[in-house]
Order: sequence, then C-alpha cells, then structure tokens
Amino acid sequence: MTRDELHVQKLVREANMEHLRTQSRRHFLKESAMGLGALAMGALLPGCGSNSQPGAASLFDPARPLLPKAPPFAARAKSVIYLHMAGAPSQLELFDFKPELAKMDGQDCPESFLKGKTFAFITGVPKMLGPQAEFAQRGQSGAWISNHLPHLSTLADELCFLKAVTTDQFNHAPAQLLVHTGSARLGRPSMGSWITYGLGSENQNLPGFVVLTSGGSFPDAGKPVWGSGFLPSVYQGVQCRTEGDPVLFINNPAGLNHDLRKASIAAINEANMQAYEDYGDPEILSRISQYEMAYRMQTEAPEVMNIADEPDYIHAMYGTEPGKSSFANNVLLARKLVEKGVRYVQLFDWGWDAHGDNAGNSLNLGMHNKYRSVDRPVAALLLDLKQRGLLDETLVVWGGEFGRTPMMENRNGTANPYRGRDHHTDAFTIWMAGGGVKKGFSYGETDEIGYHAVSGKVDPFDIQATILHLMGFNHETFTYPFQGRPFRLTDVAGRVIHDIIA
Amino acid sequence: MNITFMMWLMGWLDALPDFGGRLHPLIVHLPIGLLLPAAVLYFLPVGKWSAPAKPALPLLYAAGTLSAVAACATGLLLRPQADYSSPLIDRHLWSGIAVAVCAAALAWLGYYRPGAKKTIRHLLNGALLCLLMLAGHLGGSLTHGAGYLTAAFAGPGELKPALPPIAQVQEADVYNDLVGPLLQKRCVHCHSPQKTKGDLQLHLPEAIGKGGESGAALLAGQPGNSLLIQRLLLPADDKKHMPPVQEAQLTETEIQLLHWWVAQGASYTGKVKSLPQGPDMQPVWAALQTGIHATAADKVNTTGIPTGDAPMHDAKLIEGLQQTGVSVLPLAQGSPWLAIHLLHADSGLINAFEKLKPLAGNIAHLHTGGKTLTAAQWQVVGQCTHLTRLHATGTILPPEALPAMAALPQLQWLNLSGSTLPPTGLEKLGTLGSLRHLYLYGTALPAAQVTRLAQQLPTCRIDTGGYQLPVLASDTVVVKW
Repeated sequence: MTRDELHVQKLVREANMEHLRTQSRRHFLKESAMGLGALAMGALLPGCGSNSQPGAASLFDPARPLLPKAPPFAARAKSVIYLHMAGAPSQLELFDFKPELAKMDGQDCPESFLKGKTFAFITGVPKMLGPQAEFAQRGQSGAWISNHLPHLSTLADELCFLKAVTTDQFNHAPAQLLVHTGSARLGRPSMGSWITYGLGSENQNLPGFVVLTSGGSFPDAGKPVWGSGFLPSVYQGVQCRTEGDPVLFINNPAGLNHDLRKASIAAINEANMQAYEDYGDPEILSRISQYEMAYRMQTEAPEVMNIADEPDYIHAMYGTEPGKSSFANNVLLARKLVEKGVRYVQLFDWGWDAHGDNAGNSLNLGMHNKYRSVDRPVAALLLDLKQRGLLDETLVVWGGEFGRTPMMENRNGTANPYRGRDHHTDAFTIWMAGGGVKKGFSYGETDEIGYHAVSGKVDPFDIQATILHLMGFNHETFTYPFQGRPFRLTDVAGRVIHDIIA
Repeated sequence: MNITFMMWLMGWLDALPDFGGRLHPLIVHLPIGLLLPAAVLYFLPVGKWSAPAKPALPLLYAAGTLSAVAACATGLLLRPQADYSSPLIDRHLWSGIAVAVCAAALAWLGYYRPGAKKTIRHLLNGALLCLLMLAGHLGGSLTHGAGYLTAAFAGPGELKPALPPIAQVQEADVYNDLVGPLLQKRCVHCHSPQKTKGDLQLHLPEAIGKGGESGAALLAGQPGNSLLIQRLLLPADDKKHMPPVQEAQLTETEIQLLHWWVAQGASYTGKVKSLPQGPDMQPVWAALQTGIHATAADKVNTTGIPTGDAPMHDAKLIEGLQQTGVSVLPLAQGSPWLAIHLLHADSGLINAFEKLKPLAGNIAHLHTGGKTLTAAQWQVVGQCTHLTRLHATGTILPPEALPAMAALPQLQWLNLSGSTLPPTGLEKLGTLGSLRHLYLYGTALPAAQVTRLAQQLPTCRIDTGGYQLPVLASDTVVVKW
C-alpha cells in the first residue's frame, strides 16, 4: 500500500470511529429504556418541531434565517437605529428643565426624597445640585433643550420626548440588560434579535443586526446586551468596527484568494450538511448560512463600512474622522447600513456616567466633551436620513439606561470633588424620532425638581412594546417557546404608548 | 340632642328629596304593572278566563292610583335633577298626572258606583290605556333619548353640510359666521341650557370654555388633545363618537374647519383672513364657498395602505416572482397588498418584470433597490394602479419613467434621491394629487423646475435636501483639565 492509501485508510477509520462513538451500546440502552414510551407520548403531545405549536418556531427557517418576512400588521418603520448612551446621560442637563431645582442649589436634600431609597453611591444627606446648563425653548414645538446640544436644538421639531421614563435597576449592567433584553438578568434575547427574528432583513449580504461601539469601552453589560439569548444564534448582533477591518478576520489571509475561499467554504458546508443529516441540529444550518453570509459580506461589507468614500460635505456635517474610532464615524456608518437595508443598528457610546468623582466624569468638564461628541453627529444623522427620505421609515431612539439624581453625589458621605449626580431610577428622558412617532411632541412629566415621574410614566417594557408595535408586532403575541413556556421581549409587562404614535 | 346629631340629621334630610327623586324610575313600574292589566282586563270579554279576575278590577284601580300618585310625587322631586329638555318633561309630567286622575276616577267608580254606565267606563279605560302608553313612551325617551326604540332600523344620520354656502369666506367672522352656526346646528340641541348632555353646553363662548363632565372641551392650540375634536374623529362605531350616529353628522370639511380653528387658538373674534392658513386649508375654503363639502370618502389617505379592494394575490405567481430574486412581501400578514424590493433580483430584471406584470394591481410599495429599469419596465410600474410608495433612489431614470409615475393615482410618497432624472418632464409629476412627500436630494435638478413643481403640488412636501449644520465656535472647544 502506498503512503497515500495508508493515509486515506487511517482517515476513514477515524471517521468511522467518530461516527460509532455516538452509537455505543450504552447509548442504545440508555435511550431505549424510556424510548418506546417516550415515542408514544411524543406522538400524543405537541413537541419540538411539530406544527401544532402555535406561531413561534415556525418563523425560523434555518436555511434562510434572515429572509425578510411580513409582520402581523402594517409597520410604520422598516429599520431602527438605537443610540444608547451607556453610563446614563443626565436628563437635568439636557432635556428636563427644572428651574425649581436651580433655586434649591446647595441646600440639603429634603428627607422625603431620601427615606426608604437605595442609591448607588449617595450616603447620608446630599446637597441639591441645580441644572448645570442653560435651557431654552426650541423650534415651533417649544421643546426644552439645553445649550449643551446646540445642533440638536435646531431639530427640536422632529423629536418626540418621553420625559417620565422609570426603571427599577440602579446599576449599569442590569439596567442596560433591562432596556435591551427585557430582563435585568442574563440570558434573554435582545431587541435587535427579536426584530431580526421576526422580520429578517432586506439585505441578505449584510447582517440584519449590527452593533457599533465607541467611547473607549464596552457597555457594562457586555456582549449579552446584543446577544440572541434563546433565539437561534444567527440573530445575535454582529459587532462591526470603525477602524481596520469592519468585521474581524473578514478579509482573506495572505495566499488565500477569492475563488479558493469560495471552494473551501463550499467544502466545509458540505461536511456540515452531512452532519445536519446525521443529527438534525438546526444550529448546524445556522452555521452553514453564516459561512455563506460571511462570504457575501466579504464583497459587500467593506464597501458599506468604508466611510472615507463619502463626500466631504457629509464628513463636515457629521464631524467624522475617517481612520479613527469615534461616535461620529459610527453614526455615519449607521446611516449607510440602514440605507443598504440593515434592519437594526445598535450604537453604544460609553462614558456618560457623570458621578463627578473625577474631572473626566464631571458635569462641567468631562461631560462637555461628551455632549459635543454626540450633538453634531446625531443632528447630522437626522438631517441626512430626512433628506434621503429614510427618516419616515427609520425609527431613531436616543437614551441611557436610567437617569441622574437632582442631588449632587456625595460618595462615602463627603461631596465629590467635582459636580456630578448619582444614578436615578425614578425619572429620565429618552427621545425618539422618525418612523411613525409624533414630531415635536413631549410625553410625560416629572415633578418640579425632576425627582419623580408624575404623569405619563413609562418603563423600558413600554418602550420595547412601542418599538415592536411600530415595527408591526403585537408585543403580547410575538413569542418564542423556551423552557416550557412562550417568552416574549416584554415578558409579562409593557403597554404600547399610543399617545406618541402619529 | 347634640349639635353633631342635628347636623347629621339636617344633612340627611337635605339629601332626602334627591333620594326621593331617584326612586321615580323604580316606583313608576308599579302603576304600569297594575293599571295596564286592569285596563286590558276590563276590555276582555267575560268568559271562563277573565271571569275570576273581573271582581279584582276596583282593587287594581285603587292600588294603581296610589302608586301613580307616588310616581308623580317622586317624578316632581326628580325634575330639578334632570338635564332633559323642558317640552318633553312637561308632556311626560301632564300625561303622568292624567294617568293618576283617570285611575282615581275608575277606582271611585268601581267602589262607589258599581252600576255606572258602560260608556263612561269604556271612555275612562280607553283613556287610561292611551295615557299610560304615552306617559311610558315619553319617560323612556327622556331616559334613553328620542328614537331609542327604532334605532336598530334607522340608518346612520344624514350627511349634509350644516353651513350654507358663504360667498366671501376670508371676510367671514370665524366664530360668528362659521364655527358658531356649525355648533348651533349640529351640537347645541343636546348641549344647551335646556338639555345639557354630559354637563356640556356649546351655545356660547363662555359655556364652551367651561367644559363639561369629562373636562375641558378644547385646549387652545392643541386640537389633538381637545376632547371636542377627538370625539369628532373617533370611528363611527365607537360609543363616544360625536355627534351620536343616529344624528346628523359633520362633513369632513366641517371637521377640518373646527380642527383648524382650535389649532389657531380657538379665538372667538377675528376674521378668517387674520388667522394663519396652511395650503391644506385651501380645499376647505373652496368647499365652504360652494357649499359642496368633502366627505370622509374624499379624505386623503396618508397611511401608505392603498384604498380600494384588490383580489387576494395568487401564491403561485408570487412564488414565481420570488424565484427571480425579487422580495415579495404582503404589507401585513393576510393583506392583499404587496411590497416589492428589487435588491436581490437577477440583474436582467426581464424575467422579474414578466412575472410582476400580473401582480401589478396588488403592488402598494416598490423599491427599485438601486437597479436601473428600462423604459418597458417603467411602463409596467405605471400599471401599478394602487402604488402608494415608490423608492427609485440611486438610479438613472429614462424619460419614460416620469409619465409612468404620473399615471399612479394613489402615489403618496416618492423618493428619487440620488437618482439622475431626465432633463425635462418633471412637471408631469404635477398631476399627482395624492402626493404628500417627494424627495429630490442629490438629483441636481434646476431650482426653477422644482419651484414650478412645488406650485403645481401645494399639498406636497418637496425635500431637496442639502442640509448643513453651521460651524459653531463650541464645535472645536475641547475641555481640558
């Protein structure tokens, strides 16, 4: 026998051994003990893969998971751009004007606001901190926006504010998970995953759910905040980068050309298909489709993700710096992705946690740089979407995971060296624009110092329900079976905020 | 007896008349239940069935009289509490008293003049029957409104303009000549001092300002948040829709007039010309002048979902089209309307459009996905009679594209941004009466052409883009520490 024949014989034997490993006597006995009874029971009850399971699993076509699908009722928006300011921006310095708070600046916080409350860092009796901004009413709608966002102020008439958003999580990771996955604990699919599961994506050559981060760090909740949870893993967010390769390792290594890559992927997928026929695991089909998607992305993604080709006036409008990593770059990318048909683009900008424990975190120093870094790009995004006719069909959402206290933070009992505020769950502001929401509208009100939400209270579940509604889903019937019961993004809560829908 | 007890007693006595009045709808069933069988029994021929009961007639009359008197008394106590209109109450009042008098006469005759002549008894019993039915019917109308009984047979209220044609609308006084008479004709008969449904009166400015049971009738400047406007805009089958469905309804023109009036601050003085008017009010003024108002059917559709019917699309045709790479989706599950996206269609598009032609009547949204369509293919697009949204961005449009687009009667939304248009022919789009949004950013069209088109389409928002954000000093200030 030649050396090659020997080699082939060894490979065949190894393949056989692998195959037989799953067919041991132990395996057989273990299975058949309950086997026949289980078979009979399974035939009687609805189970995995049977068509009697209402709705849910039938939306997932493993061969083409991102094929666009029609929602249950007519959608107002086709895409979502969610701009999440991780760390929690201060609503009192940006959108919620409280002149009463200015009058109380420096005074001790009244007992009624402290009793029974747990704060992240505030201990004892903190002092009140007046707004560190100048407010004015903008546009015809008279929306209150501070001087920290001069460019966004010119677009006040496009925005729909939710001023009385409340949450029950006062730390970053659980609060971010709550906002995006509907639970403060890990393990649930994120909103982008639900939406791409339900609607697929217009463009089959790009991921349906793209994530872009900036600000120097990941959001505290980490990658699970754009994870797919118990939904098929094909629906997880694909994190793209703004410098270097848009997706890590998307380009071929040296020596591997396009055709060779195509042939090797075909071979890999053939092997995977064989495994699927043996084991019937739908995740294998996801993997096959992901290999093919990655191949298609090699041609399409670099073109979409390359912002250097945009005309100069676009760069001037957004304030982008091609080659560097910045929020402005991410925002421009978001527009390009939505223009190409991506369903859900999630942006995370880290660094809004204005505690005031150091200069970078202070409302009057570090935060000024943060405000400036988002003001122009976000205004440019709205204008750019508008002129391309995309704003009617794209829902833009901007906000954090909770708000900031009207009191100045006093960590360990002594006031912080710089002006800052602690985490605040009872009232914060999120705004939406585009895709079906009212223009120049404000929903919800807080009390005179911005501590409690007094009317129009909404929570992250309500916002999720509203976003799903605008995308054409009833959040109560859009479910997926897991652990023996149907789960939904809003789980057992949430109501659609009809008052903000145009 | 201490002070507290006296005060409690006084309070309780004060409430008694109100309580008594509220007993009226309860007690009124007694005279009905006693006198109606009595009168019917009287007229029944003497026979096996009626004989045993005839001796009871005087007792029935007597008991009926007593309960009728009680009913009248409680009715008089109820009267001040009601918000009913006076003529109806008066008629009910007098017919009720007449019932009591009739019953009393019959009772007296029954006990003290048993041999009285038949004719007088016949008369009295006949009158009793008629008066009972009259008083009862009027009482029912008071409680449930006129026409309650036959509401199931009645169709919806008529739809005629409430206002006569007005020669010079701009010179007319907003409240005195338009809003006031409109409210007078359509609303005041239930919302007046005589009949104050929902505690709301709409006959005078002061009254409108006061509002009613559910709160303020209107919020100046906020028609969306004004109850008056909200109730007009509710669907007809909603219980709170105003005016009630069996009453005459407001025309679309009249609703728009009220909406505009509230949006401009709901002022009770001033002429029409002194208030700001957008281009969407032009048809309203025209309608008020001619007296031919728009109805709900004329209302411009801005939802993106076509009006009219379409047969359900053939699944085979759709599958055939999808095999060419075209994305075909219904607007919603189960909807006959389709959204077409050509992004992944085969490059030739010839096959695709062959298969698309039979579905033309079902297509509501079309996205060309950057593909360049030939003249013939644009003609197929022109046959999509129910197309409401057309995305033809980043492509080169042949001269045939514009007439094809102009042939789409329901087109509401047209996005041509980034496309190269033919040098002439833009004015053809001027016939698109339903067009509300037109995007021409990046089309490099001469400004004169766009201005002309804007004049042809006063209700369309044309966006030529090119927005810029000014460079502010604060843009480059980096805070350091």
